[in-house]
Amino acid sequence: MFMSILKFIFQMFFLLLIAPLFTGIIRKIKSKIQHKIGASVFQPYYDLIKLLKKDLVVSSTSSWIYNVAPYVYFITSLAAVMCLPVVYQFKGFSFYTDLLVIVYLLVAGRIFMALAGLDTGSTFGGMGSSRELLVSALVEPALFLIIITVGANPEIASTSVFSIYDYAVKNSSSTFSTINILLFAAMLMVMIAESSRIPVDDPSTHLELTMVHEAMTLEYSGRHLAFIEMGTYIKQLVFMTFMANILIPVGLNMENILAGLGIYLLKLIIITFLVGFIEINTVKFRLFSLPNYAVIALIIAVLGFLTRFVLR
Amino acid sequence: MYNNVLNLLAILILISSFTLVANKRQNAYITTFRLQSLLLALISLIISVKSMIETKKFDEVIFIFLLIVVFKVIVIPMAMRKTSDRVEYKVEKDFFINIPISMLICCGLVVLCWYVVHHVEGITNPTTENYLIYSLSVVMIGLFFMISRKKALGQIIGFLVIENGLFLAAMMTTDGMPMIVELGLFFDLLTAFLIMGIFVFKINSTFDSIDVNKLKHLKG
Amino acid sequence: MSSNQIAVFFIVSVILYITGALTSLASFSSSKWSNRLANTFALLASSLLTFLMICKLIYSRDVAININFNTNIPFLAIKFNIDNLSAFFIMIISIVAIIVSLFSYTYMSHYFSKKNIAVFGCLYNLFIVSMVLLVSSSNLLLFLVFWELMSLVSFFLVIFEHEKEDVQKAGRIYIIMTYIGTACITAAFVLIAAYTGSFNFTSINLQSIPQGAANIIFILLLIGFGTKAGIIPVHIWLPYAHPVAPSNISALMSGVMIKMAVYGLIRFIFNILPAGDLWWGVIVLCTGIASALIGITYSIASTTNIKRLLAYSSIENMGIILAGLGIMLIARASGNYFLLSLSLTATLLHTLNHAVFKSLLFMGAGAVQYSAHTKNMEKLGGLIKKMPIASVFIFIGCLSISAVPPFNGFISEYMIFKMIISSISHFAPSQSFLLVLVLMVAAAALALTGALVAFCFVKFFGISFLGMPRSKEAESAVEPGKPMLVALASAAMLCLLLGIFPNYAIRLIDSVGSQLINLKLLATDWSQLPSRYYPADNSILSISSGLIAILLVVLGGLLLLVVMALRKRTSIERYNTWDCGFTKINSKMQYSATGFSKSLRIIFRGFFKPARDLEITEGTAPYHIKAGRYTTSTVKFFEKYLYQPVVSNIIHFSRKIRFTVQTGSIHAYLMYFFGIMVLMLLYYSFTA
Repeated sequence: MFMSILKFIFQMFFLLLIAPLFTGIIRKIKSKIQHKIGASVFQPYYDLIKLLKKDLVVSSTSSWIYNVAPYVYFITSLAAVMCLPVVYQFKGFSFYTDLLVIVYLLVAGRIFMALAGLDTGSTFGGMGSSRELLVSALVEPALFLIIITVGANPEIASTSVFSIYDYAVKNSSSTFSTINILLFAAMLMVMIAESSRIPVDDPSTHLELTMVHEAMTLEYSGRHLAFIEMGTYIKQLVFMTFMANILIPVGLNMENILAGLGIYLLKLIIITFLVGFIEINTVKFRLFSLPNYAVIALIIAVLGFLTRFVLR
Repeated sequence: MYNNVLNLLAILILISSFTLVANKRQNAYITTFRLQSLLLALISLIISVKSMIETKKFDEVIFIFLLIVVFKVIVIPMAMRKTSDRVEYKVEKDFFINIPISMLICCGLVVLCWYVVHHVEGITNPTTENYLIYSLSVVMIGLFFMISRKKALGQIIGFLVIENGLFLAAMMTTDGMPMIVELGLFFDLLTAFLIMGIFVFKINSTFDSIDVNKLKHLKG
Repeated sequence: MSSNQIAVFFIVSVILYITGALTSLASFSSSKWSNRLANTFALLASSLLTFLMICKLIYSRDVAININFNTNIPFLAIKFNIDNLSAFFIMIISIVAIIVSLFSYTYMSHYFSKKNIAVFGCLYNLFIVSMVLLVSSSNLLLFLVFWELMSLVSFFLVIFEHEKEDVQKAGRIYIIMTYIGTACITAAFVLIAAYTGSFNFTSINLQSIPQGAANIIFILLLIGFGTKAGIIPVHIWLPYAHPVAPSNISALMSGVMIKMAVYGLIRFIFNILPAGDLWWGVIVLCTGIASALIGITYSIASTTNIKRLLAYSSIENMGIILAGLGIMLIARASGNYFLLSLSLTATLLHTLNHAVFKSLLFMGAGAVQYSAHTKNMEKLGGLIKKMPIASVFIFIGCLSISAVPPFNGFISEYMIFKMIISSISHFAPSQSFLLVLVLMVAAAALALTGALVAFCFVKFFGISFLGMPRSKEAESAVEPGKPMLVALASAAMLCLLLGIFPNYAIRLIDSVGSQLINLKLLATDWSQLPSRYYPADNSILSISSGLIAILLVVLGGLLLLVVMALRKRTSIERYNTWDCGFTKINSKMQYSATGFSKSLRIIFRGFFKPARDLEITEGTAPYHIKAGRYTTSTVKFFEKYLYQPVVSNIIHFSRKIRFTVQTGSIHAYLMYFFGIMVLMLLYYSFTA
């Protein structure tokens, strides 16, 4: 019991540690393809440390919600990532390791962030909140369909992460089945939208009017901002882990934890490369062409659903 | 003997309704109605006396006789006479359909009633069937009278004749309804009569005439 | 407690309500006293009832409580029968009534010396008691009587401020829609009685209703109760009536009255009618999903009135409840008992949860209106600083309705999704493709709805409570009085408790299920039954929101320690919001409620048909603008394309009738009479 908790906590810190890395890798890939040298892959870590050290400027219009939101965002993202099977599974947490719980935890964080955007009384904040909520609402059907396609499999019939993971482990042979590929594609699109990346949002934009996520957090500084950034990195990791461990069920349940971690990291880096290539090859969409994007994600998910349940 | 007398009186009532339709003047309506009510009262008297003789017990139908005499023969016609006197009298044609055709229609109604009652199941007694035909005819003729007359007094008389028809049916087929039902009916009748009487004055004061056809103008 | 004791105390509480109504009327000379008396009696009676019903559900779940009175009126037997379903709904009514009565102590004070409080107090008590008796009556006619009483009394409560024109319009629409619904219900009841020969629930013989008639009865009941529940497209009264009613009444109406329709649907379609075909459930599911999605988009996109927003959100939640009912019917038709009990639990749990958080939110809206004197979001803002305590409770309501763990909305939404997943996994192997497709669409639509609810309540709370005040009224708002805060606090507490300990509520629902479908949901070991029906994860609720709450608190505590450590090294400076280097930001520059929801209006433009109009008064030069006026508008889809054509056709028809049939001539009317009589006689003689 003690050892298992220890392993679990170790794994949690490991996830916290690697979360910013992938953003660094994406940036590096982009720079390399554009024939730039680019910042180090560890740049997000440096940024976070610097932000933690800085003083805070808090808007005088804001209320307690503004101060609480970054921490709630961080905690809900962390709790969400803890739900997922990474390498080691702690069965004692079965009371909440459920895919639906992950979604609702992320919704909770998002609500707090959107409120914080409105709290400062700034136009940009409100605009950002509105757009962020819209984007996530648009991809929500696709996300749920993916979860349902995975969970409503008559052999699982549950959204409990453990049942799903066990099923994935059992059926590692069908890794590259049509269903998994379709769901993977849909999930990739959902992930891009949820973690505010091109083509849905541009995390490195400098114009407030085109911002989505950044506009919402425009007023934040210092450690508040650090926790928001960290929350976003973790949220990205949630989706990536879902893709890596449930939709590509390869090399799961390794005896050796370190080997397991290695395979896990490898899968994440492959996904990161994919995201990087997509970023370099597309441009940011207009806000009102996002419904098209969301519908494409939804249709891919529907195809996955149909392949699993109807077209057998 | 008894049945013959009753049958005769019932036929007389039917004939009196024909007479009513044939009437041209308002005062004649009232007289005819009075006559009809008197016939009705006679019927109730005969029924009650007969039942008293046969059963040697007091029969409540005698009260009906009194009520009819007091109200339908004396009070209501008098009040109506007064009403018609009080409103300005104008000689004008009071009917939509001329008298001969009205009479023909009434005959048609009697035939219709005969046809209908003939198809009613469960009437075994031919005399009851006759009575029903007469009384239903009186009801229908009363209704027709209401339609064919323009002035408000015509409607009141028609209504009262319908009432008489119903009374006739009730009395002839059941030898008198329970007292409470009769009283209720009477009360209803009186109230309706009062309201109509008031309306006649109102219509007269609004239109300078009691031609109900003019009520059309009230429509928005 | 024995059933006799419960019966006696039930009668006592009904008498208490009636005493409340009468004493309130009697003390008409003092508004203060009639308000106090009415609310005190309502509070007492409701507390007693809540206690009684919880006792009944836990300790005497297998008995039914009968209260009978003899009458001479044919068909109308005064028979009350409190089974567990009734008890559950009485519990909902009385819990909400307790909270709302507390709230009314202060809330009604702003009507003192303006309106007749005595009549209000009387109607208020009558309203509650009519609902209590409605759910406990076990005779169709008696049910109709109380249904009518409830509708009429609520109509009078809606038009309490009848001197205002919009109130009159709302009242008119409400009463018309109510009667359309009641007509359908009456027709359905007459059909039931015609086939079964009885008006009493208990003696209704299911087998004697043929399938064709049952289908018609089902449709009639769905329309009839759906009108009260506010499902699309017969929802139109709801967004009018809720905003204009006093807030305590809207809380009762939205929290409880529309649930009476849920009760009716469960009681009659589920309990009395025989198990229909699969399509019954599919129809109910589809209307439910459509209501949920359309309701919430309306709520975001077409209004800036806080109470109207909440009213539309009620439509959405009723849609979700109806979807649960649809799955219940599907499960019953296909004989899957696990799904049946899961959906029954989810539906009833969401009914309870919605009653609690929606009454909290309506009371919150009432508190806002009470202290800021406006319902318009574009005039609110910054209230979190003016009414800090009340806003915390309202915030909890928003979190609950947005299904944030560990609040109560989360549990029921979770179960709704679990229900859909179970049904997909049940029907997928059995080749019922169409049904699986319907369920897929339902899942996607519910997911979108869930996300939009978050959008909606961020708008609700963010625009009206955060940022800067947008008007003088909002600036001068103050914290409402203590009873109001207590009411809000108790509702918020209930939201949290029901969220953390949902198992207690599920236990109460378990009693309902054990009587309604003869299955003890909790005690059944599903794995013992044929595995085709029962998934591996065979518990009603496999997650524990209490432990999630603990986990979140622990993580929060750890984070707090980290933040405390960091705090020592840094300082916090308060400064103006960034203004792009121009003048200081003022409240007009803030994002407005209309702006916040604009993107959604544009995305659903086919449905809302948004239009805008810009009027500019030019000064000396074209670029020198003196004044500008910008208006936006949306189309009310159902009113324009469904109701308006019907209404205008009826008016057109009536105009025509006026000149041909309704001539105003007495002779013509007598003629109709005569003609019909002749026809009837002829008909009789030809058929005889």
